[in-house]
Amino acid sequence: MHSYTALRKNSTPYLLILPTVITMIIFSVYPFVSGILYSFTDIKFVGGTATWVGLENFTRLFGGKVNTSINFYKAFQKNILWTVCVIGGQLIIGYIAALLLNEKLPGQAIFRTLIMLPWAIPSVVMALTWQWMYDPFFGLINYYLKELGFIKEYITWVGQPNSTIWPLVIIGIWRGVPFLTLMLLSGLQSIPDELYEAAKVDGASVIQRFRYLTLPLMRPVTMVVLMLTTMWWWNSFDIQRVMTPVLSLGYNSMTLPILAWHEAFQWKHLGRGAAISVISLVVMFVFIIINARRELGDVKESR
Amino acid sequence: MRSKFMPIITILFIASLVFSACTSTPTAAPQESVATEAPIEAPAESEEPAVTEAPAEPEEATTEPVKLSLYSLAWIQDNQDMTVELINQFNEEHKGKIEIEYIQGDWGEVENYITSGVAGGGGIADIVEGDTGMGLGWYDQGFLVDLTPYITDEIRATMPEEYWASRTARDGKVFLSGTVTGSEIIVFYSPAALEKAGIEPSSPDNLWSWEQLVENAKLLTLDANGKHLGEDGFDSANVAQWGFMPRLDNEKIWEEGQIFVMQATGQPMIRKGDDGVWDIFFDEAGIPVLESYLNIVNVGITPDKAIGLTGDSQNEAFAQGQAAMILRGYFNISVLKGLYPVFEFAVMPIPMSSENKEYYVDNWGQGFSIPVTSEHPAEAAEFIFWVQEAIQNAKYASSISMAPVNPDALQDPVLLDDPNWDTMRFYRSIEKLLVVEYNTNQSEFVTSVYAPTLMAVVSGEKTLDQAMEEIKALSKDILNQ
Repeated sequence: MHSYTALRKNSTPYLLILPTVITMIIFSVYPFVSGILYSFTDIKFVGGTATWVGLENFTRLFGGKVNTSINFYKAFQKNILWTVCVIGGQLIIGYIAALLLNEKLPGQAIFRTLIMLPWAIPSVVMALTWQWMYDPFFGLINYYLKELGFIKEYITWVGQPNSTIWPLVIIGIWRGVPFLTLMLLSGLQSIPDELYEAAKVDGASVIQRFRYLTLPLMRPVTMVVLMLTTMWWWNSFDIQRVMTPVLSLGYNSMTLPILAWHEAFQWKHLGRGAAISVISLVVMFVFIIINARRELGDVKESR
Repeated sequence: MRSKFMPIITILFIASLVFSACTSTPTAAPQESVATEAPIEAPAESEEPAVTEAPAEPEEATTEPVKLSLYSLAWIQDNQDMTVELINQFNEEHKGKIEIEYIQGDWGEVENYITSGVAGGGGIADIVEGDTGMGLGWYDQGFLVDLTPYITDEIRATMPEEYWASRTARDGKVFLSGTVTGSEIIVFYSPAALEKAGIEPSSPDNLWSWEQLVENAKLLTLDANGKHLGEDGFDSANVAQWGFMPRLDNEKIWEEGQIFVMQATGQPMIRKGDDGVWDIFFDEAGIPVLESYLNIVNVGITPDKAIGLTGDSQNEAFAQGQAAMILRGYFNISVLKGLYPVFEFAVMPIPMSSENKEYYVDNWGQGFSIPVTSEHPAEAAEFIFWVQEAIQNAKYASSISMAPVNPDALQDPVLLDDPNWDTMRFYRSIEKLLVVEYNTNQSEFVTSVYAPTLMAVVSGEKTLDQAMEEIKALSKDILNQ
């Protein structure tokens, strides 16, 4: 009787979390594990027949002069460039915006609302709007750049082999700035005013206060934000997908998620698409581990 | 605390591994994949011909109509309306027996729709619209019902054998019905602009060659002062009207470019060589044509902003008088009429040799398929082959401005009374249909190698020789995966 009561008591928490765990297994863990398994097969579509091919998908990706490999290396390089530039841009503009919004300015509430707009617009609506703005013939960007004398001829900005990744980077920065601003602003507001006042009394300039007070105190928030945004933007898919026509790889803007999608769903190499995702995941995982270890080390040191 | 949870997490992880290992079907032993070699057998019911199934059904079964749904890829309003109208007409004619519901689909989504639907075991339409390339891919993956048992001699006679060939898989089973063929492209022109420049449009009796098209386009490329390209004082930085503005992008550089090459060579570019190995062939006769086509920006008759131009922008430029001639598929007649009802335009044949007056076209086309998840393939087949009959086919073709698969449809008053279909009738009179075997790796090859490399020629970054060499270096590997 005693053991039954103890069992009931001990099992209650597990029973309570069971629905969540089951849901997670079905919708997160199972697809995740399946994806890894698929990367070792020649499966053509989800639920289809598959033959175990070992590391063949990976060797083809890393294997020299075949098209798959050429695409993979291009996409890998572009993914790094994309992530670094988007996050770098977001961080710089986000910091500036957060510092401005942290000041007691008139109309501050309006600015705080306005800066959230890019974050609030649905991805596809946002991407389609930018697509029209970048239109080589009737887009606003070409029109104003020509009117202002910055360009002589209209430019094909996106979606073609000769277009670059930079127009998409601008969209990525524009899209992500609100989140960074909000997070950094909350971090800035947690720094006690007294510290700044003391620094002022000691004769520290604005730049010195930013360099020796704000930046070190903001470091934990910044690192968390960087880690989160790196994961998001490394895996970013919607902007590139909508801005690039289906039949165009967008050669200079082809990132790993786009290539994985083409391999898996357009070219019917689901196993190869899964392999690209696995490699992408491993890179992210390594980045996260290194970052987490460094952060944990810093926390221990500060104790 | 951590030690308590670790076993649970471990168990859950192992459970998920077992779960996924049970549901997905990778086999450990190395064996030859049959997925691409032979299609998965369609359910037994689909193998039974409609004629043998029908008598077995009790009379009472017809009191409650069989309900079907159709996933339409119609993207032009007229075509959407016509598909609905045909469905309503069919429903009326089969009242109490079959009732079809229209579902609006999308070309960009249909691949995911059918893949996820079949993988999920249902929940998708009984009839799915598609094209010959897509259909073959779906059939090879076991997504589609074999239509052969439903094809009577009467139905067989409604479409030329070449079109049946492109709808027939390697195992001889038909996977797609026919509605329209789609490779026919035409030159849309502004009659006012040509008249002003004193240019006679191309006609069956006086066909333009590529050289003539380029020369005429130079006369039609006007600067803000009305001077044409090549004339003294022509201001190339201030062009008000471009002579010729096709869409130059990955999609069109393949679709339209291969048609021009076929006119010269009479052969598809992607085909099996004498050794039975798939490859792309740059036949000698096609190279000058390809060169002319890829060189239009460098010549100055086409703006470099035509690179990456969308169809909408192209039509807008044409309607606004910024382009005297554009290159589009036949379907664009419907699009232009819908968008610019008062804009006057006309159509003429694409450049071809007057001496060798032949119009080569591949047997690509659209139609309807039945996914294996359909519970009523016989009834679905009844509809899709009903649409293939001349009267319905003419209405359907007219609404989308694409050539009907049924030759009799072109003589139907719906198409006979429309002068825009004269060029199509001319095409048909000189048409040489090429039976093109579809390579399932063509999409990867075109998207990732062929089109981007040739686009570099258009933008002047590569010569055609360099591009052909680069393409040939990768083609066999991709096309024979």
